[in-house]
Amino acid sequence: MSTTPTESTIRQFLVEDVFYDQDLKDLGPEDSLLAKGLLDSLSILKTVTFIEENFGVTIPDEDVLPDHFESVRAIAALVEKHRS
Amino acid sequence: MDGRTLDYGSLEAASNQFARSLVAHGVRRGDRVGLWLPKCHEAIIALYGIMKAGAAHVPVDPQAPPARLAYIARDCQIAGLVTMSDRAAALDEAFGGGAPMRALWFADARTEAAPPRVCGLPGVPWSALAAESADAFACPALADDLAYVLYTSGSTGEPKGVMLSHRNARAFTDWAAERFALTADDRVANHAPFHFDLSTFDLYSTAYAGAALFPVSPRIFSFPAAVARQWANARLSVWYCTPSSLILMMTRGGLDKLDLSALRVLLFAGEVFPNKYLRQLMALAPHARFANLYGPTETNVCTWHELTAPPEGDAPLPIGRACPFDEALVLDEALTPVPAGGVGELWIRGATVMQGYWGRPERTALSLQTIEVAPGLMDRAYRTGDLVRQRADGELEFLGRRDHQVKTRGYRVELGEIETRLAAHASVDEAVVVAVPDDEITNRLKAAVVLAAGAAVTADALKQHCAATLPRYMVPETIEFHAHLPRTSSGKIDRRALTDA
Repeated sequence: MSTTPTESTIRQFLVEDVFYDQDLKDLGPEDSLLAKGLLDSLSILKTVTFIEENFGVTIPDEDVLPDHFESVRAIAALVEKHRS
Repeated sequence: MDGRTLDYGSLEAASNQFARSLVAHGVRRGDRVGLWLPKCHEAIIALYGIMKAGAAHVPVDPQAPPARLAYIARDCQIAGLVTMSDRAAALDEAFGGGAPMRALWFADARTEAAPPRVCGLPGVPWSALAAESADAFACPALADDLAYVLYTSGSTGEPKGVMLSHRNARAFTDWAAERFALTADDRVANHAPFHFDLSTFDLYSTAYAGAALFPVSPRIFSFPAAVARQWANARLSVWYCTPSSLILMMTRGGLDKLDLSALRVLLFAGEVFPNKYLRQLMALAPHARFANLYGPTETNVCTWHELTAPPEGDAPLPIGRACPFDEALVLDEALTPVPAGGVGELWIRGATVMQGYWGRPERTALSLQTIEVAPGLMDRAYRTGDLVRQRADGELEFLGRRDHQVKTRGYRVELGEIETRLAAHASVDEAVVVAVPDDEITNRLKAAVVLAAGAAVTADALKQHCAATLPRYMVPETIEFHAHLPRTSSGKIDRRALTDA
């Protein structure tokens, strides 16, 4: 499955810095991060901080919702939404 | 939850069926049955079914690594386990051929397909329960039998099981339902996971009043904005959770923009609520009752302080007075009562005091001691390890711990357990874990590690090593490498220097 550069950056961050305790080398852009309860509250805060710093966007608190963190693709879409 | 509802009649029928299935697979009064699955209706049915069968439920953190589940299962020799099909392979591996259970129940499995196998044990798909009778089940349990065993972090490296009876649980849950005037019209939030004793209020005080329970689904649990929105939109009237989760709902969840007019009672416990945030919260719902509930897992809630006005200044909010079913004793090292104004250790005596730690008589004897609780009266009391001061008006103030137990996001963590795990790594020579105070989540965990000569290992690899046996909230957020650990003049590790750095 093809991935955008934004998706690759997010995926790499999640696999290396958030899910360091999981074997996620096969994590696809649409695989659910929530179905298995992978994201806890600290992981989410860490992810928001990363995308804000890395992509120069501001994610308002009311956008930090499950639908926007469902998958790598959903997080990338959230970044794109706030870039424009 | 998740759009599904469960009425009390269906809960009664389904838990009768589950109790019969447990008995059919050899579960008897006094046995333990584990739960290792995300929060769902089946988990609630299982809690009641296990108790009806006369067994004690052992809820394990659904996110805990399989190795921790296997440790707990073996430690208290569970007779059965309720879980999900997609965990079967991990369980099979974690038990390595030898599991204490007689059977497993898969909450998501249907009879049409063969249930997964774990160590060759029978697996019961949830839909098979329909074959059991739903008629009233004669519960063999007595009030002093165990209702549940909750595992908490242990300072020597292994979690320990706190044994609580039906009488222990109901002393608090019945009182709380009355004290906070729960009725069948209430809509009660359930935020705490079932392995956390805050959930006993949600489950059993709510049922006592015949009120409606609204469990937070695993999907939204970690999103403060989603939880806050759901609770406000569903017009929930009673909330009970940790200060950390309430603070995150305020700082990152947009709670101030929501309609909280339905909120009637807000209870919090598990850690200190910083006054500045508590004032903000009380301003958002000035019509609601607010109370600080205090108690280690070993006593459930044993003291409470209801606020009559927002706290002023920075003086810590009191943990209050003993609930009517318990007594609070402030004692010095010689077990002599400390007069008001002085600092002593808090001991609790009464109806909620646990039965002991599963399989650890020596550890139990350290914490549960028969002492003189009043002139000429000897009784069993629980030593909390918390340092307190009794104010002139009788209210107790929490001052800190005697040991290295800390709270993070409401979870109780023994730093020693994490240190033991880090030190077990071949590359680690010495490890110390400190709690760095944090405004929102009470503490963040930081480890300082000295590597063995010539060893090389990354911080991520050490975190991975921790996460293999510890729950996620116990994995240090940061790991620093040091050539030597800082020492105080007396040669002890200087924890303060590490905390401040």
